[in-house]
Amino acid sequence: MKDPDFAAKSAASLLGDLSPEEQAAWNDLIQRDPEARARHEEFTAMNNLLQSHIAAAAPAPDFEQRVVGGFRRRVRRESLLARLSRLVRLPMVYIPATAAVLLALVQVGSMLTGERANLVQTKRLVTFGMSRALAKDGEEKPEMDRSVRNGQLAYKSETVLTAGELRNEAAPAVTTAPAAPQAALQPQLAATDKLVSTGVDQDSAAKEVDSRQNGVVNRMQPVVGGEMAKGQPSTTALAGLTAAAAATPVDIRKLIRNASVDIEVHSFDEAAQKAVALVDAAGGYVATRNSARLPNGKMSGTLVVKVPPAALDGFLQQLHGLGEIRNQSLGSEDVTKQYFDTDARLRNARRMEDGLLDLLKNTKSRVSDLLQVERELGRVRGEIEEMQGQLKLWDSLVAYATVTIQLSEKNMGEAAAYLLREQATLSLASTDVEKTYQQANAIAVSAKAQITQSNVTRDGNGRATAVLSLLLDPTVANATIAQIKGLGRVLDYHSETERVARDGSADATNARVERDRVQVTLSITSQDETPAQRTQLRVETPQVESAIASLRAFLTDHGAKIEDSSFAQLADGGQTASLRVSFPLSAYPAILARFQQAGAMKDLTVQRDDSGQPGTVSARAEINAQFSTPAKLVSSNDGLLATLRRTFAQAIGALMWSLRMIGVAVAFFAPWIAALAGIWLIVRVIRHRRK
Amino acid sequence: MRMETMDPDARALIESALGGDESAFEELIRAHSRRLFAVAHGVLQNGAEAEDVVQETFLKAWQMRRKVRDAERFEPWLVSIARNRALDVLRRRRSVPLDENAAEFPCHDVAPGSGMDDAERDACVHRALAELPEHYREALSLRYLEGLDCRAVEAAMGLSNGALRGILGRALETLRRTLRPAATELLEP
Repeated sequence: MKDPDFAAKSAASLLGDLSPEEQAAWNDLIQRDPEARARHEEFTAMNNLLQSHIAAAAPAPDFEQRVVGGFRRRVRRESLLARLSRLVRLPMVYIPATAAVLLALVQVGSMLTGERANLVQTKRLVTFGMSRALAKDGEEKPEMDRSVRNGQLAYKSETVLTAGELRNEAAPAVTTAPAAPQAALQPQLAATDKLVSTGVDQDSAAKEVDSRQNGVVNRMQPVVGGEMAKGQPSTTALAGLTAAAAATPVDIRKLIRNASVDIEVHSFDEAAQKAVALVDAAGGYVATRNSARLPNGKMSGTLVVKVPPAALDGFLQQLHGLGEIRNQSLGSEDVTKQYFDTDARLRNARRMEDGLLDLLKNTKSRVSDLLQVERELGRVRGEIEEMQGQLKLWDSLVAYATVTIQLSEKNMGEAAAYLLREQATLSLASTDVEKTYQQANAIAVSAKAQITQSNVTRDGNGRATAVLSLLLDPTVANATIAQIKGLGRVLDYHSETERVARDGSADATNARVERDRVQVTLSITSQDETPAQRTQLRVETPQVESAIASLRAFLTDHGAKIEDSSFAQLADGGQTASLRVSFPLSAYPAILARFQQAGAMKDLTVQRDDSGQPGTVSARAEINAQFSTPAKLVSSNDGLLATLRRTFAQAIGALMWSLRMIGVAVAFFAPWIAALAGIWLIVRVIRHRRK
Repeated sequence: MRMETMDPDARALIESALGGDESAFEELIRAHSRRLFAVAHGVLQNGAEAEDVVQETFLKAWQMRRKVRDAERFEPWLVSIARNRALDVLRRRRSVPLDENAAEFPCHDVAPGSGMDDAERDACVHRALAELPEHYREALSLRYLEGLDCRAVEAAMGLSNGALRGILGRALETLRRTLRPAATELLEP
């Protein structure tokens, strides 16, 4: 019994896994071989043992119920952490969560470095714009005050100063201003209130309120004196001034009043007479009078008159009847203080004079002392005379107001005369330039023309040009020009007449018109210089440079002369070029055909001059060609690819910035995480060792 | 264990359970828990651990149920979870003998005719089984614990036809060699 599969066959027999044939053979073996039978019996016993051993491990009948119960308990007791960890495994959760964590890291990094991405900067600019708009409306919010930076605050303070155009809006606007501008503005407001409340001059107060509210703070200085400029409260100065004004009797105030009136009148003489009459009626007098007559016959003049101050307002009102008031000003100067100061000094000086005279009367004094007293007396008397003169001047100025009346007749700017200036430009083509030039010169001399310029030049190719500038008498101008035209083929003739006003600029219907001498500029060129046929064309070709290069070779071979050319490489990659060539008219068909081969012909303009003799051998043609690359449908800066390129570059930039911020945040947190991990590890090791 | 065709009711039950129906899942637990126990016990040779493995298997299956797209793949997926979980447990206790009592009992040194009590015999059988590879034990467990026939066991474990007889033959040989000194008693009816 050496069958290596005996155990397997025995096991198959025990499992009932043998086919009938195998089972029969197996039974036969067991019957025949006692050793095999004994071994099989051993296997049978082992199988029974194994079966009973394994079957004994079968779970109890309530096993399923236990499993179900355990499942229920564990599912319901599933910890929040386990649910969270399961939730985090879902892509729809962990992808946004990762993005949120990265965003948070970016924000932390941005916070740590103080940097802002471009996007954030744009948002801040928008906020700034909003704050500007709100500040203009006087509705700035405090939150925005905190958000804006120094520059924005400066802007807002300026805006607040200029904001209130109505008086009632000034105060609320100021309340929104930062501290410093508000402090600066407060005294001005107080000054304004004082002005209005004391009622010194309602008009001037209103003007000052307007000027302050328009932000021109310095304008207040003349009113409140120098104290405002020094930063002191203006209310003191104003109160003092108004109190003095109230305490001073009106009759002793020394006010110098001046007025100026600019009147446009129909007739100067008539108006001046009326004005003098008005002055007399007002109790005044005419101080000075002057007048002048312009070349156009109009008169203007100035009257300086003196009228009593009490009659000034009525006098000015009467002046309105003289004509149309074009300008008027009224001013006054208060010299009360200076007047009485001078008066007091004068009295003191007189007392000193009396004292000095007393000294002189004392004959016991020495001569040197007497001389010194004499000198002092002379100085004091000089001062007295000076002060007396000043007081008299003020008295006279105060006694009469000065009115300057400027009278001018209507249409002062009317032209006195007109001059007709005629300019003619004539270009002639001639086969013999010099001869034509001499003939033209002879015609000019016979017409007694004044020759202002004449020259004849001949270049290296033997081609001559001549220029002749003439001033012709207007009576013979037309005939002379006609004579000169007959000397050659007229290429160009241009005549221009201009009317020039003299002694004024306004239109005048009755002004005389004179004809000035006619200026003629004659240029004479060689007949063959002027092409008999001019062609302008535009060619589009993708390769401008190579097209031009091949054309040049062709043109040179056909005797063409390249007059000028240009080439430009555009920023969008396109190319433009221009080429102007002249050549014998006989070669025109071949050269034009070659141009047409250079690319797509877009425009073609042919101008032919049949007045000459294009059929002659010397006749020339000219082609002026413009070359360009086909226009792109979409500019290289605006196309899809360019947009994608820009977007991609911006995205990369933003990504790099985000990575940097994440790096900063990680670097910020990493030491703490490492420290915590280390502590946790140490605690764990210690606990493990204790166990 | 792939089923060629599936009962529509069973499929509906599985789909309902995979959709989150707890009662349907409990029905599946009742239907499959003994099979999973047999698999786990075959690997671990320990009833308590096998029951824990079954519990954890169903819990994990419940948590990961959204990963199963095909109802027919549910049962093989469940068995693989149980087997892997049991192997994890087995790996964790590798350093510890399969059964300390069994290891301490000297099965080979039993004098012929000296006799063995039931506990000693169980320990020796246990030890003999421990010497077999895990998948051998699993096959025997499915055969004798779950009562599957040979073809079903082979199909469930992905074995070739007739492989089970070799596994059992090997097991019986090992058992005979282990219990040889006391074999005479075993031959007694």
